[in-house]
Amino acid sequence: MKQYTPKNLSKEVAERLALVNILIVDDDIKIASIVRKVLESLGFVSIKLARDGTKALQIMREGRIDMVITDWRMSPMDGINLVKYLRTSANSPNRFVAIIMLTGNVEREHVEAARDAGITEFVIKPFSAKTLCDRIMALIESPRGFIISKTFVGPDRRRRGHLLPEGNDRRNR
Amino acid sequence: MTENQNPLENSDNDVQIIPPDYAIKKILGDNVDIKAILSGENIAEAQEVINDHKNDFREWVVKDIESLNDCYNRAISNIADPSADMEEMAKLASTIKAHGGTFGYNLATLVAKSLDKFCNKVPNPTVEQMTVIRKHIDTLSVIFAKNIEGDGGEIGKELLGGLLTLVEKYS
Repeated sequence: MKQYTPKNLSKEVAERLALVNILIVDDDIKIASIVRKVLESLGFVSIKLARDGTKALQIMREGRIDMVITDWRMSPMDGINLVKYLRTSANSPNRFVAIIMLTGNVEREHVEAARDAGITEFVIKPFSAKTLCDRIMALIESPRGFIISKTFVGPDRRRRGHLLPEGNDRRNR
Repeated sequence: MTENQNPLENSDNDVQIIPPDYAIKKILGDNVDIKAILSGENIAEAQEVINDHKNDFREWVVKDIESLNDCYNRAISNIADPSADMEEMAKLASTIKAHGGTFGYNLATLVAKSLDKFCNKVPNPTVEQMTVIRKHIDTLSVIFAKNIEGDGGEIGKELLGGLLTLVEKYS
């Protein structure tokens, strides 16, 4: 099997990137594996996979996860319910975790529902490495404030334009 | 409020605004230039990872199209109650829609998007509406049999335009 390893990373940088724990949640294991390889090619090597939200929560209770990349359509627990649980449940393993929703659900109502559930960033399928990297960069370099209220828990939605899908994938369709 | 408290139990006026948490940046430390790591040549190499799986995708999608055909045949032979197969066809179409463009098959994404939408719109299709579904599945078969990448140019426009006209007529 072809190995994808980053080039030109110093030992120190590689060790630091290895400290970032990423969880990919997707019932399509083939696509999850490709996303994993994309991340590995960039130097992120601490990556776990889960087939649905329930399994994701189990993994998150076993150890620290810093970034969740989740699909929407899964069962028994889909991506949107995973996000809602993480943000609002008293038993959430990490209410503040950064969450990227990577989904083919691209209608405006889907984007708004995901935003209202408390996602951090939204990447639409079909996706490119650039789109995914851009969103990862945004959540690392420009995190938003976090709102906890009766009606909403999640990253501040006022930076609204930033959350809406962007990139040539969407515009070219 | 503590982290384990249910935030939806807050009083109406209780809104907490927590300043941005640079959690991952802190883990990476000051010596990691994440902007450099997630840009330029590194992105191109990451995209190569995706491109390297194009042939795998073609194998998967052929199976998905076979499954679409199976669902179609079951639905047409059980036209009184095709709902389960219509749901499955929408799911398969959604998968192709989501992944086609990732691997350079943008036309397949557009055709699958139209099929996904149509299946959801007509959960109990008439025989005429089943013909529209048949045309979508046939078009997807042609796209991968002839390896039509991107938007397919003029042929792509023609194929998609024909399908959208049918969808409009029978919706």
